[in-house]
Amino acid sequence: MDWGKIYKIKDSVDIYLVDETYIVAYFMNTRQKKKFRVSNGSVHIIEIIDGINNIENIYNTYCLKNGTISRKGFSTFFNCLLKSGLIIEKSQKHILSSSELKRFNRQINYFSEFLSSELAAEKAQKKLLNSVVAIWGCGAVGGNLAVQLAMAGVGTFILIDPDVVEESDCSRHVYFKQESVGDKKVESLADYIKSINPAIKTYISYQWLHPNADLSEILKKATFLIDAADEPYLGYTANLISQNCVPIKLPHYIAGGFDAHLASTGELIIPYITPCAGCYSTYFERVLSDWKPEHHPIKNREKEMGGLAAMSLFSSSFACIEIIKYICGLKDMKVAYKPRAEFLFNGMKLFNLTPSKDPNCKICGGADHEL
Amino acid sequence: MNYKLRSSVSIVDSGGNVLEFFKTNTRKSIKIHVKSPMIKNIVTHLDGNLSFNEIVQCYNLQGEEQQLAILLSYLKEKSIISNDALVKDREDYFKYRRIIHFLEDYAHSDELLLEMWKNIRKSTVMIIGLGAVGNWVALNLAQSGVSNFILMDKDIVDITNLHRQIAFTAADIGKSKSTVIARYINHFDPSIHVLEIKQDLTENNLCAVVGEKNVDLIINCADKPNVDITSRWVGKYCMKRRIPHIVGGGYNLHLSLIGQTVIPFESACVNCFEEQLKEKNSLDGLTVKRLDTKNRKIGSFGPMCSIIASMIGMEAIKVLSSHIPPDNVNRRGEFDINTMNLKYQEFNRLSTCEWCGYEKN
Ligand SMILES: [Zn+2]
Ligand SMILES: [Zn+2]
Repeated sequence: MDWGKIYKIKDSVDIYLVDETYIVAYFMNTRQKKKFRVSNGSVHIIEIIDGINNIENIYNTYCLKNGTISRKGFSTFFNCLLKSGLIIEKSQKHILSSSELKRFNRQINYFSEFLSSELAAEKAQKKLLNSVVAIWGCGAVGGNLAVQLAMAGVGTFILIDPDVVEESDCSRHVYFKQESVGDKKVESLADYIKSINPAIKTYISYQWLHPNADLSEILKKATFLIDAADEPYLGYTANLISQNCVPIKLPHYIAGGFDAHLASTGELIIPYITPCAGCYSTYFERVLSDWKPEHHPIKNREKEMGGLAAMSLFSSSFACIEIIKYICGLKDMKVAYKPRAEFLFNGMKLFNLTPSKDPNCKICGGADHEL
Repeated sequence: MNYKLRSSVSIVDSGGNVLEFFKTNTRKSIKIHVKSPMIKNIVTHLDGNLSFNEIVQCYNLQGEEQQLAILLSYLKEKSIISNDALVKDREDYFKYRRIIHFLEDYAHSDELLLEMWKNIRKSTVMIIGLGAVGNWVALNLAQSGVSNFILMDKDIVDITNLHRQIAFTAADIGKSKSTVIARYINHFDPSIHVLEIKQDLTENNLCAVVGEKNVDLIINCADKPNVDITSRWVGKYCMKRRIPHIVGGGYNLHLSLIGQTVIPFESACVNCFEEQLKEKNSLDGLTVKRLDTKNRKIGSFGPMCSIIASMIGMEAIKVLSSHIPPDNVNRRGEFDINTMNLKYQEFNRLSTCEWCGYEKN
C-alpha cells in the first residue's frame, strides 16, 4: 500500500452505524446495501478519512487518539474499504487547467462515481473538451443539444442548418431572441454557446442534407455527429447520416423530438455494434407494415403541428445523457446503449421499442467487420 | 362554420370498416366503425373549405343530413376535426401556434381550446430556486405562453453554475440569478412580467413574500437546507391557500427524482407523502446513526436535472390549462441513468393526514 495516497469516502455511499456493532453502507448507484461488523476503532478510521490527508497522516491521527495499532492491521482494513468500493483515490495531479477544473468541478465529481479514481473522471471531462460534435439541424432539439453539450464541456462544434430564425421559433428554440429573427440559425446558436463558454470553438455550415450533399469536410473533422434534421422527415435524414457515418465508424446519435414523436428519445448508433438507421427502417417496415396513413387534405400541415418546449427538452436531455455516457466512457455503451423509446405526455411513461440489428441491413449488414 | 381535419391527425384505414384516427401530438388513437366507405371519402377530404351544406351537396347526402351532423360533431368532440376557429383570430396565435395546436388534442370545442389557452396565458407561476431545474422550467413555461412569473432566489451567478444551469453566460457571473432569468425570458416575449424576490426561502417567509398576489402554481426547486424541508415549507403554505404545487425533485447521483404534483385536497399532499415515506424507510427500530462524510462534494450533472425540468414543464402545462389532468399526482418518479428507465412509486392521500385528511377536519 502506498501510504502517500489520499482517499475519500465515495460521495455516492451513505454509511450508517447500526446499534454500535455494524455499519451499513448504502450504495446509491447500485442501490446495494452492504453490512460490515465493526469495532469502535474502525468506525473512527472511517470518520477521519477526509479526502485531504494521506494514509500516513490518517494512521498517525488515529494512533494519537486511540493508541498505536499495527501498520499491517491498519493497511488490511484500508484495503478492505477500497475493495468494497467505499473509498476512492483522490487525484493529486491534474490534467485540466485550473479554470476548467473550476467550471466543471461538480460534473467531474459526478463522473468519478462511475469510474475508479478522480483522475479517471478528469480524463473523462478531457474527452468532452477534446470532442468535435457536428449537429445537423439546429432547431428545437438540435439547438438544445448544442447548448447542453456546450455547458457540459464539449470543446468544438460544427453547426449545420440552412434556415433562418422565425418569430414562431420563440416557442421552440431556447436560443431564440426577438432581435435575431431573420438571422441564420447557426449564427445565433454559435454566438449563444460561445457566450456560455468563450473557450468553445464553432464552425458553421448552411448546407442542406440531401443524397448528393458533400459531407466529407464535416466527417473529416467530427468525432461525433448528431442528426436533428427532420426535413423532409427524420427517417430520411437518419438513413443518409448512417450511410455516411457507419462505413467510417463514426458514432452518431439520431435525435428524437420531431412531429408525431415529440418526446421520443432518439438513439445512439455505434457503427456495427448497435442497430443503425437502416436497421431501424427494417424494424419499422416490419412492425408498421399495416400502418398506411391516407393522404391528408391539409396543405402545409407543418404550420399546424403541435409541440411543447418541455417535450423537446425531454428528448434533448435524454440524448445528452447517452452521448456523454458514450464519449466519457461512464458506461460500456456497447452493451448499455438504450434503443429508441417514446415518452408519452399522457401518462408520463416511456414506451420502449425493440429494434435489433438487421443482418441484411443495407448499411451495416453483410460481411463481418473488425471491431 | 367549415370542417377541417386537424393537420396533426393521421387517418389509417384499418380494414374491416374500421377507421383509425391517430393524434400525432399525444400519440393517441381513436378507432371508429364506419358503415359506408363514403365516410372515409368525406373525412379524408375535410380541407376546411366546405361548409355543412356544401359537403351535403358535394357528396349527394340529401336526406342523410342528420347522420352527417352526428358524425361531424362526434369528430369535433374528439378533437379530430379542428376546434381552432376562435384562437386563430388572436394576435398571439402565430407566435404560439405549436402550443395551441398541441392543446387542441384535449379540446372538444372551439370555446374550450380558447379557454385553455387563455388560462395558460394569464396564469402566474412562482418558481422557488433558480438552478439546474428551476431555470429550465422558467424558460420552458415562458416559451409555452405563461406571461407572469414570480422568481425567488437570493443567489448570484457563479462560474461553478455554468456547467448545468441554463441561461447563465460567462458575462452574467456576479449578477443576480433572478435578474438574469427575467432578462432571458423577456427575449422570448418582452411583455412577460416578472416579479423578482431576492431572498432565500425560509420556513415562514412565503406569506409575506407572496402577500395577496394571485398565484396559480408554485414549483419548488429550492434545496437549501434540503429539498425535503423546503418542500414541507412550500407544501404547508400552498395547502393554506389551496395553490397547486409541484415538488421539483432533485437528484441523488445516478437517480433523478421527479417530485409529485399536488392539487390541494384532491391528491396526496407533501405531508401524506412524508408519512408514507417514513414507514417505507424505517430500519426495524434499531438505533441508526449516519456517519458524517468529511468534505463531501456531491457531484451534479446538467442533463439529469433538465430531464426532471422537462417533466415538471409538462405537468405544469396540464395544471395551468385547468382541463388536462396532471399525471404525477399520488406518485413520484425516479429516472435512472444506468438503465435510462423511469419508475414510479405510488402514494395515497391519507384520511388521517394532519394537513389534508378529512377525518381530522
Ligand atoms: Zn444497420
Ligand atoms: Zn395530506
